[in-house]
Amino acid sequence: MDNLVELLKRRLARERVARKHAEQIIEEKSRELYARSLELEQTVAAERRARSEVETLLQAFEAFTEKLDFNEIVTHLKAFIKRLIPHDSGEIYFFDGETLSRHIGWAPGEDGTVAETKIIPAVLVNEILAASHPIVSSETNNQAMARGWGIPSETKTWMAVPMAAQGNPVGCLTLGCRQPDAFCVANVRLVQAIANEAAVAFENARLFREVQKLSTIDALTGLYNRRYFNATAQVEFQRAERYDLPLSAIMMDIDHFKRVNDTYGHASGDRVLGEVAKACGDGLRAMDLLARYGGEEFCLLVPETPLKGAMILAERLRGQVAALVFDSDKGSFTVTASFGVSERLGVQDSMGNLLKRSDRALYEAKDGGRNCVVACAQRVHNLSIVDRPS
Amino acid sequence: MKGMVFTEFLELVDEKFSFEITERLIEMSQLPSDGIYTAVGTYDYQEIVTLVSNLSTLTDATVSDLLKAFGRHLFQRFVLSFPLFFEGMCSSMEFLPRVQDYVHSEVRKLYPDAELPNFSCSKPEGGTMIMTYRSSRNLADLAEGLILACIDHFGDSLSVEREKSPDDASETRFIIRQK
Repeated sequence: MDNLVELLKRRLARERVARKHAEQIIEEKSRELYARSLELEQTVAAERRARSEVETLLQAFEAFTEKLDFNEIVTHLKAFIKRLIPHDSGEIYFFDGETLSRHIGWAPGEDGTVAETKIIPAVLVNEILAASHPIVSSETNNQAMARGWGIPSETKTWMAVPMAAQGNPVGCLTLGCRQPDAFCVANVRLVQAIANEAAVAFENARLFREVQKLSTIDALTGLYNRRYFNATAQVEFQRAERYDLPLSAIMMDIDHFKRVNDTYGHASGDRVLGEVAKACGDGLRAMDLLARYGGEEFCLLVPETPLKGAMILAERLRGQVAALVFDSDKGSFTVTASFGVSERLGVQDSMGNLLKRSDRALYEAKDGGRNCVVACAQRVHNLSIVDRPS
Repeated sequence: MKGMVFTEFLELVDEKFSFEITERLIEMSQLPSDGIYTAVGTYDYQEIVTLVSNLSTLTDATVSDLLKAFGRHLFQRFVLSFPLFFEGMCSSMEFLPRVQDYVHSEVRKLYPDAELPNFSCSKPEGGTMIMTYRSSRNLADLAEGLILACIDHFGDSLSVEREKSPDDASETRFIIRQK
C-alpha cells in the first residue's frame, strides 16, 4: 500500500512538471502564432492594397481605351491619379514637338484647376522626355530640376513622369507633395503605368482627331468640305427654326476661274482658291460656317443674321476678293467673285431650299455681269465687271 | 520525436499492463527526461527505444509485439485526433497511398519539426499494393501495427506480408493483398 502511495506521488510529481513544461511550450507557441498572425495581417493588407490598385488600374485602362476625346482623357487621368496617389498638387503637360506646355494643373485643397500657361525650359524638356522612367525629387535629389520647373519650395517631394506612346513623347505628368519622401517605389510605378496608358489614349485621340479633320476639311483651301457643311448647316438650320432666329446663306463663285487656270496655269488656280478662301475666312465670327462647296464655288452660312446683314457681309467679301493681287510668270492679275444671298423664310422652309435660293441668286449675279452681290429675287448690286483677268 | 508518441505509449502501458509496471519502467529506464512527457513537447527518439526494450524485459512480450500493439493504438488515436484525414475515405487501399503526400504534408503544417518516415505505395497488379517503409528509425514493427489497424478500421479483408529489402536495411516492404 505504502509502495502504491509512493508510486502515485511520483506520478503526480511528474505530471505536475509535465504540465508546467506543456504550459511553457504552449505559451511560447502562442507567442509565435501571435507574431505570425501579425505578419499575416500585414501581408493580407498589402495584398488587398495591391489588388485594389490592380483593379483601379484595370478600370483606368478600360476607361482610357473607350475615350477618344482629349479632354475626357485628361479628366480621367486626373481622377485616377487623385484616387490612387496621395499628393497635394499636379499638372499635365503636352509636348508640341519643341516645348512642354501645361494643359491643366491642380493645387492643394482646390477642386478647380490652374489654367495659366506655363512653359518648361527647353533643357528640362529634353531631360524629362529622354527619361524612360519618372524623375523623383526629394529634399536631397533632383532639387534643381524641380526648381527649374518652378515648383514652390514648400513642395518637398515632386515627380515628373514622362508620357510616351510607341516611343514618341506625348507629354508629361507631375505630382507634388508637401511631405518629404512622400512617394514610394510602388506609387512611382503605378503613376508610370497610368501615364503610359494615358499617353496611348492621348495619341489615339490625336489620330482620331486628325482622321476626323481629314474627312471634314478640304485639303487645298483648309476650309470645311461640302459634306461637313451640309451636315452642320442642317443642325444650324434646325436651331434657327427652333428659336426663330434669322439665318442667311451666301453662295459665292470665282468669276471666269477656268480662264485663270488656262492663262496662268493650275498652280496659280490653286493659289487663287487658297487666297480667296483665306480672304473670305478672315474676319468671320466663330459661328459662321465657310466651306468649299465644289470647284471654285464657296458657301457661307451666317447664323443669327438676316438678309440685310448677310448682304453687307457678302459685299465686304466681294471687295476683299477683288482686292487680292496675284503674281505669276505672266504678270500679276486679280480675280472677282459673284455672290448669291438668301435668308431663311418662316415655316415650310428647309436648308436645301435656302441653298437653292442662294444658288439662284448667284446665277442672277453671274447673268447680271459678275463681281456683284445679288439677293434672292432682289438685285442689290450690279456693278460692271472690273479687274477681269485678261 | 513528438511528445504525443511518449504520452500515448505510457498510457498504453498503464492500460495493457498496469500503473506499477509503468512506474517501474520509468524508474529502471533512467531517462534524460525523467519520464516527464507532454504531448506538445519533443523528446529524444532513443528514449522510446529504451522504454520499449525495458518493457520487453519487464513483461513477457517481445519488442516486435510491443511495437505492433503500439502501432495499432496510435492509429486509433489518429482517427480520433485527426478525423479530417479520414473524411471521404472508404478503404485502406484508398487511404494508405495518401499517407505520404497528404497526411504527412498536413502533419508538417502542424509540426514543422516533425521527423516523418517515408511511405511509398505502388500497385503492380490488380488487388495488390506494395507499401514501402523507409526510415532511419527501424520502426517497421510500429508501421506494421499502424497498417493492420488501418485495415481493421475500414473493415477490409486484406493480408499483409512483410519483407526486408535485400539492398537497403532501412527499407521494409509490406505486400498487401486481398484475402
